[in-house]
Amino acid sequence: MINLVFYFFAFLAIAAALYAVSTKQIIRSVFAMFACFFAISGLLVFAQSDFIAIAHLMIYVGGILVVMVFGIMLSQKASLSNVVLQKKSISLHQYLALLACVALFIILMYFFYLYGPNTPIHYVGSDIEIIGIALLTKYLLPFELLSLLLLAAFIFTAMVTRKNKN
Amino acid sequence: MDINISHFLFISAALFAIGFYAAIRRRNIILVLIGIELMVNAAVINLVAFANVNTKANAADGKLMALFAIVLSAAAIALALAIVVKVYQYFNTINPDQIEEFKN
Repeated sequence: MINLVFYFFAFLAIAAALYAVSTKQIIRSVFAMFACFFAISGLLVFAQSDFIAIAHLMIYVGGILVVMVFGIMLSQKASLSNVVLQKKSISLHQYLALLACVALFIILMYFFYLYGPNTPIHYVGSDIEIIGIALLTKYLLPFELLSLLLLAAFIFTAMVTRKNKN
Repeated sequence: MDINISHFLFISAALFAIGFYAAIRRRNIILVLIGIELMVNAAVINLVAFANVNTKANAADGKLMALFAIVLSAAAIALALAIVVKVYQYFNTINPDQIEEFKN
C-alpha cells in the first residue's frame, strides 16, 4: 500500500517534469514544476529524510517558484496567458538535443546498474536530531559560510535590480 | 517489492536527463533555469538516497550535502533571475539566441 504512494510520487515527478519541458506556454511549465517539486519532496520523505523534505518544500515551492513567476511577469511583453515560447517546427537541433538526453539517461542507468547499491530502505526514525547535532558540531563552519554567502547573494541581487539614478 | 535505493537512482536519472534537455534546448532563459533546477533536484535525490547506505557513523553527511545544495541553488536562482530582469530591460528579449553582444 505504501509502495503505491511511492510509485505515484515517482510517476508524478517524472510526468510533471516532462510536461514542463515540452509545453509551449511558459506559465504552464512553471505550474507543472509546482507539481514536480511537490512530488520530489514526497520522494524525499520516502528516503528517510523528512527534514530535508520539509526544507525542500518550503524553499522550492514557497520560494523559488514564486520568484520565477515574478521573473516571468517582469520579463514578458504580453500578458501571462498567451506567452508562446517558440515556433512549432521541430528542427535538427531538437532531434540532437533529444538524442543527447536519451543517451545521457541510458549511460546513467547503465552505471547505476553496474555500481549502484541495492540496499533496501528501512525506517529508522526522524532525522532531525542527527541533522541538528551535525549542523552545530561537524558542519558548523560550512553552515556559517553558507549564511554569509546567502547574505552576499541577496545584497548583490538587490544591487543588480536597483534602478539607475541617471 | 521493497523500496530500495535503485528506485531513487532511476528517478534521479530520468529527472537529470529531462533537465539536461531543457537546459540545452530551450529558447527561453527561464526554461533553462528550470532545467538547471531539475538537475539540482536529481542530485539532491541521489545524495539523500545514498545517505541510507551507511546509517551508523556518518548518517547526516548525505543529508547535509543535500541541504547545502538546496540553499546554494536558491541563491543561484535569485541571482540568475535578477540578471534575467536586467537583460530583459537592456535587450527587450530573453531568448538566448537573440542576445548577441554584451559590449556597451
